[in-house]
Amino acid sequence: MTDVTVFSFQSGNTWLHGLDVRVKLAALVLLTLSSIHIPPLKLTAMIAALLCLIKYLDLSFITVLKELRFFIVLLLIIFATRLLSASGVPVYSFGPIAISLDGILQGGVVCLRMLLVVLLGLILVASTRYSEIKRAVEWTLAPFPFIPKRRVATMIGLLLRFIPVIFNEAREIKDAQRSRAIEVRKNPVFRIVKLTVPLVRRTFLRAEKLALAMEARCYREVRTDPQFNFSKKDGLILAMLIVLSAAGLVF
Amino acid sequence: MNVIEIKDLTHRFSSGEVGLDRIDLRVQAGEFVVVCGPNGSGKTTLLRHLNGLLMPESGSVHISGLDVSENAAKVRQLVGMVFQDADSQIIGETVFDDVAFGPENLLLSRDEIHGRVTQALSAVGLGHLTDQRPYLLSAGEKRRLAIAGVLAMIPRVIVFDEPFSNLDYPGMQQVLSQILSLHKTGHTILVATHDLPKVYAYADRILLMRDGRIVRDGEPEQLLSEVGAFGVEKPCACRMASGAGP
Repeated sequence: MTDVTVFSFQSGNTWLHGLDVRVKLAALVLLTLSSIHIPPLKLTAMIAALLCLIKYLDLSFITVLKELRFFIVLLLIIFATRLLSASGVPVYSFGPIAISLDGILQGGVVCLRMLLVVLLGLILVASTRYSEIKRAVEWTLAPFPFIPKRRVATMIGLLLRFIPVIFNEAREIKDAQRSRAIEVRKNPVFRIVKLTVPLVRRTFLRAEKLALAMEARCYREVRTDPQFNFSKKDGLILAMLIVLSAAGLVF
Repeated sequence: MNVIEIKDLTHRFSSGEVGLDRIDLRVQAGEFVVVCGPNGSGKTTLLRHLNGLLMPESGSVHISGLDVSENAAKVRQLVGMVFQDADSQIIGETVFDDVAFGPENLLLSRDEIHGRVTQALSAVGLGHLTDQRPYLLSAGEKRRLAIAGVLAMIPRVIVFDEPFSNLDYPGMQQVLSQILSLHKTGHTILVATHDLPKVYAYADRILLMRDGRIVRDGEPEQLLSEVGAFGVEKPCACRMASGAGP
């Protein structure tokens, strides 16, 4: 048995699982767009709502935090950069370094926006089968005649399918290296190279095996795809999302 | 009636190394054949020619009279393959989705897919785990899931590549009893393994491979005394009878 990343489909029977995948994708796009304009307080409220949904999906906050630890480091770096580069009346200064209220606000808002997008993505991936996402991508690309929609959708679907596999591979490689005292080497570049090279190699090998397994089971681009189930509930949620996003953009 | 007919099959790897060297083989419908030999003897390469994952460079492979080179898609429905690494064979995000992958490729209706998946899962005893994520299954259950994925295609021939590798004893027993029940239901079974003691008692025929060639082909009783010389472990009972060491 193995640990599975939360960034993968978690089977369940919640109303989020039952929601039409196109509505979920629309929510991702609309909420991301509206987050560009809404003030920090509303942004915080949206993130709180998303955290409630994550809890509702029965995902462990500790696991989510653990898996987002590198992303959180990135957010901290972005926050620090904004903090130090923004102009305004300093509220605290230490030598040449001055921190202004504007800097804190700007840095905070950028980080909250990025966190919002990642949480939306997490909720989408955790509550939707990759075959449904693939089908929705195909449906979205249908009006564009020169895009090979089935191929693009398959690539996106497989990418999503591969995320947990790559995470598991990385975990195994790290454990193997830790057992041989990699932690003694303090140079982060050395450690990154030693992790990345075998990870890429194993990922390609795994991809090759997966392609063979798919071929052995008659894989083809034209296949019986999952059906959409757009219900009244989906319509209602979509309408609410449109209204809320428009309100967020206007006010 | 021969369900598999291979004539003068040769395969070279891109490095130039010979993978298969002038293989001739006929397997009758309903036979249970064990293909054994040490690592690198050509077992997996041979099996991959049976459902068109590898195409003959010279020679021919026919399944139920169909030339694999010309009918790869059809042949893949007739010959189901269970790979050595069950993890890499898992495609779906739930047990149900994974088994449904093959029938979806055959463009079957949703109802028919549902029927085939339910039947395949109950045949391997995983009917209670339909919504489970495959990564959370034990090694034995993953192997049985792979078998269910193949069964949902309703194949005539089922090919197992090292089916007992990385399995504990209960897992090995489950997979073995699954293979035997598939044989009882009329499937032609080919098992490639270097672990002969686990299956020799059930086989109708053993093929011994070395350096890409079939060096022995016969009934288990005839070949058991020779297998050690070809890098394959002799069954314990056979060793005890001859009084020889391991």
